[in-house]
Amino acid sequence: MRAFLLSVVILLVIALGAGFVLNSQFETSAGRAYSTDNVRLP
Amino acid sequence: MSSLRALRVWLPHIFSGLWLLVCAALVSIALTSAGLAQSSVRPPEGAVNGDAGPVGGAVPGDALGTTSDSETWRAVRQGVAGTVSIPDRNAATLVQSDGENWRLLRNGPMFDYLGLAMIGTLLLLALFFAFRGRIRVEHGLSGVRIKRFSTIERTAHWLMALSFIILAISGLNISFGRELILPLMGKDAFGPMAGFLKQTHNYVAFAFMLGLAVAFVMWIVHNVPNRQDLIWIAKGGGMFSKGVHPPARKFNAGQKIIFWLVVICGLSVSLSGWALLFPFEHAYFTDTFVALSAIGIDIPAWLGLPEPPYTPIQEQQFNSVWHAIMAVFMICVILAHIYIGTIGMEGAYDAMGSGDVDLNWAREHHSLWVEQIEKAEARSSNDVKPQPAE
Repeated sequence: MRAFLLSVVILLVIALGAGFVLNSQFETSAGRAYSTDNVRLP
Repeated sequence: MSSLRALRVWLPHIFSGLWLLVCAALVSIALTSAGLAQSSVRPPEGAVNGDAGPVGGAVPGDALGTTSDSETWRAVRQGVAGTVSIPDRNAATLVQSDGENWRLLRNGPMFDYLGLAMIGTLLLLALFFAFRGRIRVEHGLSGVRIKRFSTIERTAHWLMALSFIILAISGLNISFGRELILPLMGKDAFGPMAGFLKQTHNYVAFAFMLGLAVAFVMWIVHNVPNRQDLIWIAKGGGMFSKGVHPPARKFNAGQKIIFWLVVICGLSVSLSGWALLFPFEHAYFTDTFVALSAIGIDIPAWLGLPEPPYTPIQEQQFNSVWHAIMAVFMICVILAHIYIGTIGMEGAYDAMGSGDVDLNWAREHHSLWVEQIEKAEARSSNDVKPQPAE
């Protein structure tokens, strides 16, 4: 039972940590992904 | 009198007609002036005259850089990439035909077969249970317990198991939820639930990878194949007949098969999931197919796939298909593992539950491991010799 509960705690910590890191560091907003500071000349 | 009456009737119409004529003339003069004013500006070099159409298949001004519109649009249809200035470089490809093949495969036969595989596994297990029943400890429970798995081993197992179950449920919802769950609970409830499960799938994946890595490091020593495994497999592990208990060490051949399937498929599903989580950054399929073709294994030719190298979007499509196939295969394997570890075999759950197992259970299923432990205990007790009193 102790091992099971320990694994639940580890799972929650990793999942929440991953969510925080992914959302704060790796997510590209649509506003940035579909905009540009360049212009295209014909 | 009658002519005066006629004049009174028609006069407004005549004035209206004249007024319209005057207006039309004024508009015509204004447009002509604007046209003259515009034509007085010198057009830039190479400008295309709007009135000129393609002549003999050639585009005026060579503005398109090709011979005709149809050539251009044919190339676009066949997946030619243009240039874009936004960060999403994949937007340069307007039409990707393989995407339609992927969509048809994914929404069609692929999920049908994967669903049938899981249902088939459950039916086979139910049939096996009906045929064999619960595998009992033949000599009865002895009441003597021996330690089988430590707390760290069980923690790694449960970390992997719990995360896998969460990933399986959330992944199956992504694949089958729209067809199976949405009609039951409605869009208002299904939408937020599916969104939550999708995010959960992304986050919990890292816990699964950690559990897999720890389990691999801890148990690889016990899962190296040996000669006893062949005997175990030849006797079907004693699963199909009573009174048959082929010898095995800490892990028998069946458990070794589960171990290696989980490690290899788990690594594969993790890599493909990683590529889906961080899209367009990896070329696993190009690299793998090229490496295999170097030793004479031409997977694309066997499967009728286009030859590598693949575009980033093709890589994502391959990842999506492979991730689903590997995941469902693992679900089938783990269903069998859960069955034999719970209702299928008496005493088996204790190994991961409390960590201790009954001695008779251990002797029947892991006789060589019990012998090892007993020898080790005997050695350690002999080492502790009584010291003479001084």
